[in-house]
Amino acid sequence: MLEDLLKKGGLAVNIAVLLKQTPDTESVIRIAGDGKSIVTDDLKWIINPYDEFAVEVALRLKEKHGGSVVIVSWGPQRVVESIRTALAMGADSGVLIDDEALEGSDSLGVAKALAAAVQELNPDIVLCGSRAVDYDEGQRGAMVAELLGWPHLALGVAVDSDGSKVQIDRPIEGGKVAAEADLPAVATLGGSHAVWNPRYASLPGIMKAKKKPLANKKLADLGVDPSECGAGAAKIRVTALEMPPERAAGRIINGDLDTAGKARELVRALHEEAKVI
Amino acid sequence: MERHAFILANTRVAVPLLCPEIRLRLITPACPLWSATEQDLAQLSLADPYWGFCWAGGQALARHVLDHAAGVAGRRVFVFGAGCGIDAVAAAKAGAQRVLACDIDPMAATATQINALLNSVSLVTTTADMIGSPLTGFDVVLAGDMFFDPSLAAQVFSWFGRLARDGLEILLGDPGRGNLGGQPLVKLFCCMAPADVDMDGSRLQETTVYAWQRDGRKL
Repeated sequence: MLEDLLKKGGLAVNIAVLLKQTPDTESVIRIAGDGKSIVTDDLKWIINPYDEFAVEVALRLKEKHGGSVVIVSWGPQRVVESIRTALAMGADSGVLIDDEALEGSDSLGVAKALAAAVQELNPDIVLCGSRAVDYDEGQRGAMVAELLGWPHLALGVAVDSDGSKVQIDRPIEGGKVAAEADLPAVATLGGSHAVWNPRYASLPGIMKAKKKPLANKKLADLGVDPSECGAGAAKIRVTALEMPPERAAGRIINGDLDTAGKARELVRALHEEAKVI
Repeated sequence: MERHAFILANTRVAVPLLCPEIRLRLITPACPLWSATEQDLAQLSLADPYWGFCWAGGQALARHVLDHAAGVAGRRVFVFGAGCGIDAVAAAKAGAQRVLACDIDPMAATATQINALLNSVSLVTTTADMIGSPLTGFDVVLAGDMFFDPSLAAQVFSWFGRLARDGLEILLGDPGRGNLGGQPLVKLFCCMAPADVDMDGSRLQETTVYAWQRDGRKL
């Protein structure tokens, strides 16, 4: 009731968070036999940390102004677990686009499905991470904004809204930019865990999340032509993945030398071998 | 840890907002388990403790049962998805001839027994999956807040349809979870119940108790 009153006063904001499930950043990643994908067996999956920041921002806006937060994600049923985690943090409902036709999509294919889901939900603000920690393409938010014809505020490290506009701060070299856009709008989040400090879900939130609505959608439900998504429609192809080179072993300065000797040897090694001084 | 001891160690006696005449052992903010994270729960290997909370739908249904004791007095009551046991306790307090509280989670069965004792009523629990059973020997079915999952709801509703045709009276409580569309239900009672697991009752949500219509009128 209060939420409705706030809404009438132009304060409450309905927010959709576009959430990607990514491998846990702690996981050991192995490249698959084809050389351009990763082995997904036995991986632990998490909410893309940048999207987790978006969930946190959405919940703070909801706490401040009223409104609702819906989580929109895509992928197989394992993604339900990540949506439930966001619901346990405090989001109100979830939508999972689970359609085999999405498999192998590039960012544009996924963005088409997400934009269609957003259109159906009709939120005031769309939030998502500026990038995902898996392929780091950084295209999702911008593409969804473009497909919707909405403004896109990129790389926010502070976000607020008065119900008619959304404002962000974006760090730039040596300073910051404050920018705003009329709603509806898309904002993507930068920053770090230290900037946003996303909340942990505890038992009452986790249990509440079990009973919150989570809708499964196919592309057809969203009015998206499956031939516009998937590997066949992908305009970007990953051609190769490569692991970072193994780090060379460190070198320890001879411990038998006295302090001055160690310092001399260190300076010599840095100058002659590492060539950094 | 043994179930009984685990529940006693991890719950506190609480009074549900809508049913001050009932006392229940629940997971409250005073319990360490309240602040457990997903990782903590995984380490405990504790199945989702639905039994630790008194859900809005079950609470409203219990209120209705207590206020309309004649509806269950002297009758044989089956409680589907007993959880903490509030509806089973309410039916027993209202004078049901016998109460069978069903929940497939053994923790819920134990919690229901503990809560029955706490309220000085007696009832029987089962952990059998009773969906589809003809429930021979019962007159009334109570189901509080069991309609949060669309596929489970669909399964339960086709069972309830058969039970209603066999003459059982079915009452259910639901805080607008959105899965009741198309079912032959009539509203009996509407109230504001504590929002999901919001123990201090500071947030309320509209919750409705329905009866299954035997003549098949749709909601």
